[in-house]
Amino acid sequence: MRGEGVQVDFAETTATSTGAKASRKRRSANRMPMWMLFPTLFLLLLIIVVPFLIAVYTSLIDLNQYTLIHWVRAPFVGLGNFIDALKQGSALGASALRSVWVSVSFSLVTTAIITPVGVMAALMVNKPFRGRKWIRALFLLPYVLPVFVIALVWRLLFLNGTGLIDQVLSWLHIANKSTYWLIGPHTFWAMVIADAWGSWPFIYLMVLAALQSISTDQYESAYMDGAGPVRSFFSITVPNIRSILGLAVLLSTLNHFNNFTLPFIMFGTPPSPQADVLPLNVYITSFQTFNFGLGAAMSIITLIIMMIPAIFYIRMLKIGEGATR
Amino acid sequence: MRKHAKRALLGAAMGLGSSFALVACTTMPQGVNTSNGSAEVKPGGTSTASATHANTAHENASISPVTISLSLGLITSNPQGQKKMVNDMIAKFEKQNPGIKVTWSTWDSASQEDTDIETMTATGQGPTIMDVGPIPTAYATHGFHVLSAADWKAIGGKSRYFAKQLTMSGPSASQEIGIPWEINPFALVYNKKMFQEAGIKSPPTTWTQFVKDAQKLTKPSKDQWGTGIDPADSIDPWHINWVMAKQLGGDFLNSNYTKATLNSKPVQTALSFWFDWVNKFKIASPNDLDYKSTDLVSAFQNQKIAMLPMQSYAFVPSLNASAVKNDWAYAPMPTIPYGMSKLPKGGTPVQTFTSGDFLVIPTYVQGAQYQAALKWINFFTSVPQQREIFNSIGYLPVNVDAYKNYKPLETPTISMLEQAENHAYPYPFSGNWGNVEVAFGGAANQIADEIATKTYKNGDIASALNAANEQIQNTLQ
Amino acid sequence: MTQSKTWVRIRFAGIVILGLIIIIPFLYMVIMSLTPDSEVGDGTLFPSHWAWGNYVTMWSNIGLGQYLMNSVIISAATGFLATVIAFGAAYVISRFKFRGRKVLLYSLITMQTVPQVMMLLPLFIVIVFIQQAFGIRLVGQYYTIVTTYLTFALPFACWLLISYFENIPIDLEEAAQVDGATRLQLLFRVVLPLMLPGMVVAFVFSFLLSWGDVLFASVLTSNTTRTIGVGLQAFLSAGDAGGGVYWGQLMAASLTSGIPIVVIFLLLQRYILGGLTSGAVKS
Repeated sequence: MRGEGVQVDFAETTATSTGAKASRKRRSANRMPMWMLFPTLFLLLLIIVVPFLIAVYTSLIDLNQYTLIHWVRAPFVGLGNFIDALKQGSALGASALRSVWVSVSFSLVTTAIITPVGVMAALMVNKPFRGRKWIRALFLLPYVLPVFVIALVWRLLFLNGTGLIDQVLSWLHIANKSTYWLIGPHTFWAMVIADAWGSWPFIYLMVLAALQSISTDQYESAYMDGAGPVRSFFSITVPNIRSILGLAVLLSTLNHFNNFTLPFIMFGTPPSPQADVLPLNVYITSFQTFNFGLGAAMSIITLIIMMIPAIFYIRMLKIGEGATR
Repeated sequence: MRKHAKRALLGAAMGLGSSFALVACTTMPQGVNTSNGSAEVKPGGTSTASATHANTAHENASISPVTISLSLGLITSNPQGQKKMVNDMIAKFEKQNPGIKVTWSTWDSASQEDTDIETMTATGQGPTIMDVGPIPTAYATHGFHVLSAADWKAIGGKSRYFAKQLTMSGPSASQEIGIPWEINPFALVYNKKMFQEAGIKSPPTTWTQFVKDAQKLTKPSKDQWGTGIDPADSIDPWHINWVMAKQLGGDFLNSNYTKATLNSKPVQTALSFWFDWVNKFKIASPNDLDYKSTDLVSAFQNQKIAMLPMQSYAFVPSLNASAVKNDWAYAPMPTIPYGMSKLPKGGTPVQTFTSGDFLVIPTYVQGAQYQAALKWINFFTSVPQQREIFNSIGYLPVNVDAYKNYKPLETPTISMLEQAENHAYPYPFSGNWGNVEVAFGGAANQIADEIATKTYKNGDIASALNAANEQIQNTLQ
Repeated sequence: MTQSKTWVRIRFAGIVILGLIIIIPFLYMVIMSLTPDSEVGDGTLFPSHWAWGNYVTMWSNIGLGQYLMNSVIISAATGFLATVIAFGAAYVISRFKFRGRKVLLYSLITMQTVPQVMMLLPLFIVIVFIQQAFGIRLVGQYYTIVTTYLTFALPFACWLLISYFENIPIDLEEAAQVDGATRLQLLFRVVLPLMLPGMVVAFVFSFLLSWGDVLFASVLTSNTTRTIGVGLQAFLSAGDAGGGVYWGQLMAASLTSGIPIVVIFLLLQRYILGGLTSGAVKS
C-alpha cells in the first residue's frame, strides 16, 4: 500500500510537468492523463512515422543498386515510380494493382473462412464439460507453430502426386492425382487453406476471451425471464462479442493482407501470378532486383487503396467510439 | 479478498513479463561496452563468456588498435565443424599477428545475404570482411574496395587462385573486388547402381546420349525416372539453361550487357529442350513441375532419379547420409547439344559457370583496418588453411597449390571437379543480373504451369521469353 | 444452466471434425520429425526406420537452446512492453475526447497495411542514424529488435485494448472517482482487474507476432541474439547451397520450439478464461 502512495505522487508530478497549461486548470481526477499516451506517440513517431516518411521519400527517387550507397543524393524522379508500379510492375511484369487484387482476395477469403470456424470453436468450448481443458489446448496447436513451419508442412502436403493431399483426394476419387497445388491457378487455394489452418485460432481466442467476459448473471436473469438458449444467444452473446469480433475480422484481414512468409516459403520466388501477393511483389522488387523506389511506390499505392475501406469499416462498426466521455 | 487474489495473479503475470524485460535490460550495457572492443561475440559463446571476452578486449584496447569482423555464410551442412574451424583459425591468426583481433558472425540464408549487402551499402556500417556469392550485384553498389596490384600481392598474388575463378571477381582484371576462397563447380551426379541395372557403361557426354540413357533408366510404373527438373526453384532454372544456351552459342545478355537476348534462338532451344524432358521424352516425372531444388535432391537420394545435371560438391555431405551413399558418382556435364554431333558454330564447351564464394571488403573499411583485413584474407587463402577448410567443412580449395601432393584432395570426384573448373565460364557480369534471374524464373514458372494444366502450346516458350526479355531490357536502359 | 441435447451433439461433432483437421497435419509433422532426413517427402508416409536421433542432433546442429532462449526473451519483452504501453494509450483514447483522437485511431489501423517488407530498409536507416549520432551499438541488441517488433505489435495491442475498454462500463470508474480515488488507484484497483483478460490476449498476440518473425530478425540480430525463427530457417538454407535439407531435424526442432509457447498458453489461459465470470461487472 505504501508503494502505491509513492507511485501516485510520481504520477502527479509527471502529469503536471508534461501536461499542457490548459489541463492544469482542471484539477480533478477527471483531467486527461496525457503522460499515458506519450510512450505510444513517441514510439509510433520513431519506429513507424519516420521510417514511413523515408519510404515516401524513397518512392520519389530512383533508388537502386547503383544509387543505394549515396541514397540521399539519388536522382529525383517525381511520380515516375508510381507510373511504373501501376503499368509495368516488377521484373515479372506484375503490377501493383494485380498484386493488390491477389492480396485483397486472399485476405478476404481467408478471413471469411476462419471467422465462422473461430466463432463456432469458441462457442463450443465456452461452457464447461469434461475434457474441455484438453480441447482448448488442442485448438491452440496450429497457432503455436511459426508461419514458415506451417508453410513448409503444407508445401510437403501439397506436393504433386506424392503429397498426402493428392494421395487422399485421388483415393476418395474427388480429384485427379495431378492437381498441381503449388503452381498455376490452384496456388491461391493452397495458400488460403494453409493460412486458414494456421490462423483460425486468432479469431477463436479473441472471441473466447470476449465470451468469457460476459457475466453469467446476464444469462441467469434472461433464463429467469424465460428466454431460451437461442434467444439469449442473440440477445446477450451476440451484442457482447460484436465489437471484439468486428475488430478481430479487421485485424485478421489486415494481417493476412501483409502475409509475406507463407507464400515466400510455400512457392518460393518467383511465384505463380495467382499467388504473387503484394508483400512478395514488393520483396522481389526491392530486395531481389534492388529497385527500392519502385517497391516503395507499390507500398504507398497499397496504403492509399487499403486506407479507405479500413476507415469506412471502422466507422460502420463504430469501433473506438464506445464508452468515451 | 477476491480482488486481492486477482491482483496477485496479475502480479505474477506481469512479474513473468518484467523479469524477461529485466534480462533484456541488464544485457544492454554489456552490449554497449563491447562496441569499441569486439562488436560481435563468437557464436555459441555463453553470456558470461562473452562478458569476459568483452572485458579483455576493452583492457587491451590501447595495445591492440585493430579489430576486424568477419561475416561468413553459415555452413548449414556442418555448423559445428565451421564453428570449431573458424575459432581455431582465429586463434592461430591472432597468435601470428598480435596487433589484430578477429571476431566473426554468420548470415544464414541467401536472402539474408542480399539484405546484409543492401543495409551495409545504405548505411556504411557492418563487417570488415563479407563473404558473398554473387559479385556482379555487389560490384554495382560501388560499396566495396577495388583491389590494387599491391593488394593482390598482399594476398599471395593472382597466381595463387584458380584463374577461371577470378573471372567473376570483377568486370575486368583491373576492377576486381572479390577474392575467391573456395570453388564450387557444377557437374552431373548419377546413380551407379541404377546405371548398372540398366546396362549403361559410362555417363553421357552428349545431350543426345543423355536422353537415350535417361529413357533406358525411366520406369514410370516404379516411379523411377532418368532425370528431373525443378522449374519452381529460384535459381536452378537459369543455372542449367544458361549452360545449355552457351553450348548452343547464345547467352542471356549481349557481350557488353546493354541488350537482353533471352528471346534469342539458343535460349529458346535450351528451355524447350529442358521442358521436353517432361513433355516429349518423358524422362522426368510430371510431378517435377512444382519442384524446387530440395525436392529434386531428395528424389535423387531416395533412388527415384538416376541422373541430376548441375549439382555441386556441396551435395556430397547429404548424399553420404542418404540411401544412395554407396552409389553416387560425379561426371562432367554433357557439352554437345541435343541432336548434334559436335558443338555448333559459336558454341562454347561450358560445363559450369564460375561458381563459388568470395570475400569482399566494404569501402568504409580504411587504413590499418584495411591492411589487417588483407592479412586475414592472405592467411585464409593460404595452403594450410585451405586444406583445413576442406577437411572441416568439405569446401574445395581455390588455392591451386592446395591440391598438389595432398592425398585427401586426390579422389576421382575431386579430380573430375577440378577438371570441370577448367571448363568454367563467367556468366554476364551485369549489375542487373538479379532482374535476369527473376524474369527467367518467371518464364520457367509460367511454362511449367501451362504444361501442368495442359494448356501449353507451341510458341508459348518464345512468347514467355519475349515478355521476360522486354522486362529486362527496360531495366538495362 | 442446462445445456440442450442437440447442442451437446453439435458440439461433439464440431470438436471431432475440427480436431481431425488440426491433428492430421500435426501427426504428419510428428512422423516427419522421426524420419531420416533424406526420406522426407518421397511419398511414403512411414519411414524405413524411426530416426529418434533427429531429436538429439538438432540441439548441436544449430544452437537450438540459445535460439529458443533468445526468442523467449525477445517475444516476452515485446509482449510485455506492447501491452503496458498500449494500455496507457488505449485508456486515454477510449476514455477521453481530445483533438487528433480520430486521426490517431485511424492511423493506428492503416499503418498495418504498409507491407513490413517495405519498412525494413527505412527502419534500418533510422537505427543506424541513431547509432552514429549517439555512438552506441544498436544492431544485434535485444532492445533494438524488441523496439522494432513494437512497430507491428503496438498498433495491434492498442486496437485490441481499445475494444476491450469499450466492453467495460464506465460507471464503475465514475463511482470510484466519486469515492475520491486518485488516477492510479482507479487504474490499479478498478480498471486493471477488469482489463486483465484483454491484456493477456494482447500479450499473447504480441508475443506470437514477434515469435513468428523471420525477416526483421535476420537483419537486426547478431549471432548471440538470433531468434528461433531464423535458426529454423537456417536448416532450410542447406538447400540454397545445393545440398539436401535436414527435414527430419527441422520438423523435430519446429515441434520442440512450440513447447515454450504451449507452456505460456497453458499458464495464461487461466487469466483469459478465469476472468470476469465472478460477477465483477454488472451492467
